[in-house]
Amino acid sequence: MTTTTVGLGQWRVSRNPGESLCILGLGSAIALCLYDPHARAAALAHVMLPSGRDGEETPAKYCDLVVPFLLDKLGDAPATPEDLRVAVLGGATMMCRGTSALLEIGNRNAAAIVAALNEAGLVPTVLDVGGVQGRTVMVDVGSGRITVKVLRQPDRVFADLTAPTEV
Amino acid sequence: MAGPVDEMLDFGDKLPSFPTAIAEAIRLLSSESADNDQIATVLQRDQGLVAQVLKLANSPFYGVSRRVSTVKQALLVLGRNAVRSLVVAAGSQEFLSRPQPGYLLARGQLWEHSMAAGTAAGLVAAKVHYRPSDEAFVAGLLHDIGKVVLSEYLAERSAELAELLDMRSETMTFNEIELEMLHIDHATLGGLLCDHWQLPPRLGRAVRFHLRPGDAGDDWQLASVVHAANALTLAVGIGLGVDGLQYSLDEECLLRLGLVEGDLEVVADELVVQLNRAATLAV
Repeated sequence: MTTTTVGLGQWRVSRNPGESLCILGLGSAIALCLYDPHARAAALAHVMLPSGRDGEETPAKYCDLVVPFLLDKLGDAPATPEDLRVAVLGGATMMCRGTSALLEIGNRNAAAIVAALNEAGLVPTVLDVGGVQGRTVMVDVGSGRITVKVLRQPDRVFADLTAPTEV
Repeated sequence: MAGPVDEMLDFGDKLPSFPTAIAEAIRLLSSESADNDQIATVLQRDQGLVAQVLKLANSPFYGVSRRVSTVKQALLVLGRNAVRSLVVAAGSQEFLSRPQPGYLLARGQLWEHSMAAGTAAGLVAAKVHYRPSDEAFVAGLLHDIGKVVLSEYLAERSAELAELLDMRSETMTFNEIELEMLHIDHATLGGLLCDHWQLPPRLGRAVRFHLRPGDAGDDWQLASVVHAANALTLAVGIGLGVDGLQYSLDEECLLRLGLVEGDLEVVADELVVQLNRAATLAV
């Protein structure tokens, strides 16, 4: 099994069933995974911020730009959006005892990515966001299984991007 | 009753010490009677240290147009205070690079977080026009130095820590949990370490109050810059341990600094660019 790490603001598409895509240490950023179960193709982006400018060199970094970009990179996507499995993970936020949204990047990221998906006619089949803990996300390309690792907690496994199962 | 950390603070020899060359250099850099030749001679006994100091001196935070290639040049161009901070920063790499089991951080993770926070502090300082930005860089680099000491104590009482985290993760910040368990938090202890190493008092106060910058008195600006830098580094996900993002944000201080909604996202964007550039250079 080959493991490929997706760095800050980076993305990766794989059709190699022996490959695992990984994001180490998600804080307020989002792991966006698009999975085509028929082609067994996975796209994973490490999305850092709610919005970017048009014409950005690194659209995978921004919630409002990443969805069409990643769909394009996944290519040969299923004929209907319903066949595409979508997972959104991450978006942790610091404890805030005030009212300003100065650094609620996690919450803003989570809201922005769901809005961008909806705009593309997509709904997350897995939504694992929020909290104050960092996450490490692994996507098994062959099976579509996603494993979320959080320190001190049991792994959360989303088999076939449908339902959570604790192991 | 004295807690374990109170006992430790009664025994200065239990606090981490720098190797002889670094300790001697810090002493000389603080002494008005020492000249630059003496300081350079002592520093050059540790070539690894010299290399690290020069690497930091040539980082963008110092804005030096010409490459600094010797210790003497660094003293002339940057001045003694900046070189003293650089020596401490370079010397702290050994401590910060160690595994920190109490925080579930593997070898190198706290150093990575510290370097990112130093970078972020330089960016925040530039955004709010705080000068000198190199001071912000060093304060950011050292902000979590107290974890180096507290890690061992947290690891020894991991069951109690786990229980508190399970029960109070939504109501208590991690530093409040440290305070409850050990009667001191890593920020306060970091400030004490800076004093122990005879760093400039403002640096010590920025480290001590980086989690509650509103209490830093006249040094609230530097403490707030480090507060923002730490928050950004955690948000970006660099060096997340068992404490994760379980800290509170002092919005009032950030607003007083002049930051407005969206500013920190701009800084986070630039931070990611700089971290990716550094990662590329390291390969």
